[in-house]
Amino acid sequence: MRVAIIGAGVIGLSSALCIHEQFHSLVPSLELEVYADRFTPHTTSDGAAGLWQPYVSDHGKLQETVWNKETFDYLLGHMHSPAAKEMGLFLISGYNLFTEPVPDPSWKNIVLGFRNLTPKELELFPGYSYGWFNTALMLEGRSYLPWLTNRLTQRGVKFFHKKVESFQEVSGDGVDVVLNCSGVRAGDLQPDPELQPGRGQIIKVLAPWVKHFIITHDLKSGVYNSPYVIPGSEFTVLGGIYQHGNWSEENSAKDHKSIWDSCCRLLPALQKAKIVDEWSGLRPARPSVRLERESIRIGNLQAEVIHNYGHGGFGITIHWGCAMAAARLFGNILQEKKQLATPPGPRL
Amino acid sequence: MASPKVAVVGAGVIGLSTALCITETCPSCSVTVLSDQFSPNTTSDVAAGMLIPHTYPDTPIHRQKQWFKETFTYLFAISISADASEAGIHLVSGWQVFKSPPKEELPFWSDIVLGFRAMSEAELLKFPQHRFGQAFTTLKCDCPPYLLWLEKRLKATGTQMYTRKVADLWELHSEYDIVVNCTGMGAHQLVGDKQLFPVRGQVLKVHAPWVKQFIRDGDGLTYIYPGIHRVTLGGTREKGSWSLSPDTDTTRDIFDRCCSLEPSLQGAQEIEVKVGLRPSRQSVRVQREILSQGGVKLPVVHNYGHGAGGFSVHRGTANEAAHLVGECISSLQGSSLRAKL
Repeated sequence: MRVAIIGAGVIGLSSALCIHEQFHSLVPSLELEVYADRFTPHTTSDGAAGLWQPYVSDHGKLQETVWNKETFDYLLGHMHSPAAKEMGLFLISGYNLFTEPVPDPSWKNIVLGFRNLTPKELELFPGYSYGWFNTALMLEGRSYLPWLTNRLTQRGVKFFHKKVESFQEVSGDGVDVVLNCSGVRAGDLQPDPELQPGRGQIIKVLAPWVKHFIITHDLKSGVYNSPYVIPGSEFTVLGGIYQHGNWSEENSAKDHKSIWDSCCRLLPALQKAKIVDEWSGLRPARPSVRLERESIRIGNLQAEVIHNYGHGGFGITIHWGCAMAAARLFGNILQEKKQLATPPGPRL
Repeated sequence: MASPKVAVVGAGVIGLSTALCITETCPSCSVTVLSDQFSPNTTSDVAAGMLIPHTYPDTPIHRQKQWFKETFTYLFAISISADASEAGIHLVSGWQVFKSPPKEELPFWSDIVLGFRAMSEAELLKFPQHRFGQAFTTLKCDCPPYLLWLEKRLKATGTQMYTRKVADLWELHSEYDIVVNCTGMGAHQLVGDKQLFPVRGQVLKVHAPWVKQFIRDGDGLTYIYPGIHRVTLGGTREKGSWSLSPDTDTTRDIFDRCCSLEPSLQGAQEIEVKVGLRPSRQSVRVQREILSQGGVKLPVVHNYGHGAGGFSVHRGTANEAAHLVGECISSLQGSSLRAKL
């Protein structure tokens, strides 16, 4: 039973790990192969700051809220394990700032200690009149992806540095199931007009005195188009760019100025911070995550594809819930192929 | 008195902040700081500099609260300014956890720190041995940066600073009009204050940059305070011990206690051990005194005995001491007028 995973970002690697963990003892012939044109540290996941936080509104997508919660709980459970540091996992508290009152988010009871900001706290942030404080998690891609890669390598999963041009390319080669975790470039494998790049740009600085995340929101300009500051274990990420439909991965001087000026207004001490890097990435934006099966006919062969892409700016936040859902779909496929009597694990 | 000459003895957080307050309230004063130690070799440099007050048994609570409030307000303004990183002042959030119910549900400072509330059940799950907790956001003064920033501000006002061991306050009476005694533990010897006693504290300063939150056991013995570049792990409270030498068994014990609160500290690197003697007293001595010897008078303002709470109240006591210096100057001017008559 050969399974090909296309994509080696957080979605591809975690889906592969989840499937291997659940099924390798039940399916002795299970062989996993990861195909990607980019590996860590060059994936979209590597550029993300790594803060667990869904969007302010879930727009009624309860399934995604459940996946977010499953991810948070899974990560929180790893907090006390010796692997936490290697995974790039740690607790962090911080602020979400608004210029007007907003309803509480769907994730208020998922994070720890969620509450509104007090008037005195708002004095820290002139120009903002409302906000939230909570404790959440950081999962730094630069550590997590290598950690996932090590776990997969230990389990005998093979990696291939290759740009897959079509599903046929892998399924025609004798692969039974394809996991499509190709992120923003999923459209190259199968047209999907709903998938668009949500271009972001970030500046990495040395600002080790910043111990909180600060995310501002401008409900008029839309999500991620307002400054944010996210302290990592080594660098602090400054951001606030979201350009729908922009495919450029080149850093823009105009965006740099916008990020720098707005973040320094938010935290004046950042003016003294040393800039160490700058990066642009493409969030795989979609009205909802595409997580579903598809049977693809190639000649007289039928290939099973599990799509798992379109996680926008919340891939890290939602990844494990989606990985488990993909694993469940994989279990269904095994059942249908009579490789399994009954699927393992709890049903949702 | 055209330009009163004020000597401030001591260059820890108390000496430097008191000197700075004097330059602010008395711009015509000529202020000189004298100390046998400067940053990074003061007691203040060992401390984490967390704004979590210590309660002095014999100082009225309203006075302690006023000192803390003034200090918090002063540092809050710096923390949101462009100077914050140079001054070493930053906000930090975290938890104070208790194994048994705390004496007071609401400490006197709970409405001065930010966002003070009880920890939720979910948060307490992280601490299986603890049953109660408080969550809040406060400020931290990192040393040496804060002391160096105070020194820089002092130099800008023309204040001179000299390395000098003052063995007797009377040494200074011919050069200075007023002496301000901010000698911390040194006051035991310098002014013979037997109410002052050391409480030895050993700490570890480690590299663990993924630790962004403070954790403190309500017993005050075990704490994890993330600073700009290092995390301070503590500690001990050894009353009456004068030893400045690190103890290896104590180091192991502190590390184990902190790892049980935050297991990821097992991965901490570059562990440095430091020892400081908290200059402890039942009340902080902020007081005027006129020393007299052979017909000569020497006005002295004392500002020492802050024990475990120096950073938390430093600016408030410095303000009070500067005010007392003002009173000394008025007295001197009054008596010099009388002398002319």
